[in-house]
Amino acid sequence: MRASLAILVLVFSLLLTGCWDMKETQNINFITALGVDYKEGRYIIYSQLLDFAEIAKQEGTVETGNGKVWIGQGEGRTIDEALNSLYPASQQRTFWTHVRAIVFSKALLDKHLTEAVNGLIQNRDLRYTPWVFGTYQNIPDIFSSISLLNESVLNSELLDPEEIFRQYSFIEPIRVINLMNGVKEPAVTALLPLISCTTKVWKGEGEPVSQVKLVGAYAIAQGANRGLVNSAMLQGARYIAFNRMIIFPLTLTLEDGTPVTLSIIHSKSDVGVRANDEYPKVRIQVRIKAYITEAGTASGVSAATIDELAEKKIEQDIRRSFDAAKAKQIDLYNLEEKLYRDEHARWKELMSRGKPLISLMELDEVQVEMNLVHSSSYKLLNR
Amino acid sequence: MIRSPKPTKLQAIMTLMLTIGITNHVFIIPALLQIAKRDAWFSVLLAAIPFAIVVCLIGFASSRIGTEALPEWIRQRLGRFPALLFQCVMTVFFFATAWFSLFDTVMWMKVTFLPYTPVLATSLVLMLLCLGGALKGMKTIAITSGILLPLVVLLGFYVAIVNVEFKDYSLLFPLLEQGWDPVIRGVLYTCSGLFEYYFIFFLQPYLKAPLNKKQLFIFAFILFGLTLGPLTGAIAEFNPFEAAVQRYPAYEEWRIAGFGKYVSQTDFFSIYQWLSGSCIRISFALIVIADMWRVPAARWRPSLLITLAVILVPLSCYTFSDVTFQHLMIRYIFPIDAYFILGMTLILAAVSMFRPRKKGRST
Repeated sequence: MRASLAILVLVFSLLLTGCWDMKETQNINFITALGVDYKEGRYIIYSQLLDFAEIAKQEGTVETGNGKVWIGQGEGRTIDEALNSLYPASQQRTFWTHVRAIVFSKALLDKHLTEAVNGLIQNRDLRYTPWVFGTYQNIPDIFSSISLLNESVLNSELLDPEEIFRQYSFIEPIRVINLMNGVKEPAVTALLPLISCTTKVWKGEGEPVSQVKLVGAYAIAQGANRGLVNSAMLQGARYIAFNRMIIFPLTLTLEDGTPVTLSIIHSKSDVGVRANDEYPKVRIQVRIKAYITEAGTASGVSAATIDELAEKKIEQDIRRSFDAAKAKQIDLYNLEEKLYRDEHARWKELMSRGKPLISLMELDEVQVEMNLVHSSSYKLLNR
Repeated sequence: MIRSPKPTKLQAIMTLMLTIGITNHVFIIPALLQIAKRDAWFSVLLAAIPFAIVVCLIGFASSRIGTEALPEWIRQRLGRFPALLFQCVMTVFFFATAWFSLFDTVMWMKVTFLPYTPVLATSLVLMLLCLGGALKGMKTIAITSGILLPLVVLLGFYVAIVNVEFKDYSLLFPLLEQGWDPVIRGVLYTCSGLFEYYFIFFLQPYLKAPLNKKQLFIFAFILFGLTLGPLTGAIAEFNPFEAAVQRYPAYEEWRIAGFGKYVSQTDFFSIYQWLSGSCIRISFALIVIADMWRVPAARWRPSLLITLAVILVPLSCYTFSDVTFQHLMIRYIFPIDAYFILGMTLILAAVSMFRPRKKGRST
């Protein structure tokens, strides 16, 4: 009995040596970012390949010279065909499981986002977790802009947008799984961060260095690009449409013209849509927490004054952003979703009129409740 | 064959949680999402009504049957022929159970982790493992479950918790967007999973005493929760339209699970969960078949089990494509399953009302 058991175990170990699916990491091209463009009926795939030495920042040795980024390009009538067209010249096995960011070009977003996303996900190697971005620039330009001081490229905003979001919540970074709601849900608008590169901020050894930067968003609804959301429109969206808002500056102008800067650190909104009238009326309540980061020369100004000014400014921002978005028929605050989920029958009825629902909506009441938490290192008058 | 000491009640419930849990937690979810989409979770809630009725029937019947083996019990009440018929029908049923579980598991491995490994290799290894368990008997399976299940449950909670960042439960609404029809059809599919609760009949003969009312109720409740958990998870994480086209929604939930910046993928844990479930389930089915046919011939039981295993391996590899399999399951197997178990439970409950023909003890 014991002998036969031992033989059985030995036989099993024979199976192990087969290991049909064994892959050795040094023989794999790990793609870290993927770009999808669409031109004349064909999908164009850009892939960003990193050297292993670049992924882990090595201790002791100081890397000199530019970070090594290679960019591959393939094309095909389907996403998978385009991915496959990269393989013949790739020397080794190419792996997509570790893709951390996907960038969609505007041409793709306008027409074929749903097909592209379906293609990427069905292709089983890609996950729902990579960050997603839109861009109107050349995707290779974005992939080749590297991080500061030639650090590991994995530390760039493209591959890890969360770090910057924690210091400057300009636009909420989203993953494929969040984008899915904008692609497949009937009444949801997702804000897809818009990435571009700039040479205006940093110079290295006197030469301008290209760095990526988030500059706005595309409004994605029902799988189509509904238009650009610029930073002015984001101003209002930040309080209402974002799921998370960690910190963002807000500069007010006092009566005498001196500027005061606050940091908004928390925002919770309650949106109601009253749909019994001909035009659905929107009521928004926002509670905001902030602290004063710079009162500058504005001596003698009281917290109560700043509080009041901030409330007014935020209400104004919310209204302006709403109007600007409505003019472009973008449902910036996801008001349609509210109707769709809470008053489904009414939503159906309004939809049957064949007009974009947002063009019927009216912003009725906006209530902002500001809570100033502290004034940083300096004291401030209460009243 | 059944050596004392017998499995404890806790071990019995753990065995059933693995055996039935994998159906409700994994196999049924893609069907349910495809049929009822966003309302799938509502179907599950509604299915509580037929499920409660069936649980009561099973509870009643099982209190009459006690720890007696079913064929013997039927023979005492209805005679030889119905008992034989019952044995044949149940053999087919459990054989199909083992077959479909093996097929789904092997195919899942092929699609996800081992695309280049021949299905024959995975099927063979898994079948050998299950055969080993089956040869050892129900006691071994029960003890193994006691070891496997705690980690399976722990991992389940892990994936539920780390995925909270992706969950938006407002996606569960609006209800009844497509009317009542898909919801009602969803109830049927939910039932086909939940009704497997009647596996209890086939486990109790191995116990010292039947499960009492409280234990039956707790187990039913756990089973219900097992169905609801990954289903609402899939809807809230992916949105119902995406979840409805996924082949393995429960596994997709694993694919997004990770924590922190440096651990971005932990889906390999799902292999442990899936294999624990299907291994216990296949062994369980084989044991039930083997112990139902008691033939005094020497080495009968191992020969029967080995024969079954030898048939199952090629069946799980070469019978149909996964697309056909999915179609068969959703179109025929799940609904038939639900009606079949319902019918069987009704018959058993009805028979329980009568006293045995021969003089014998009835509890």
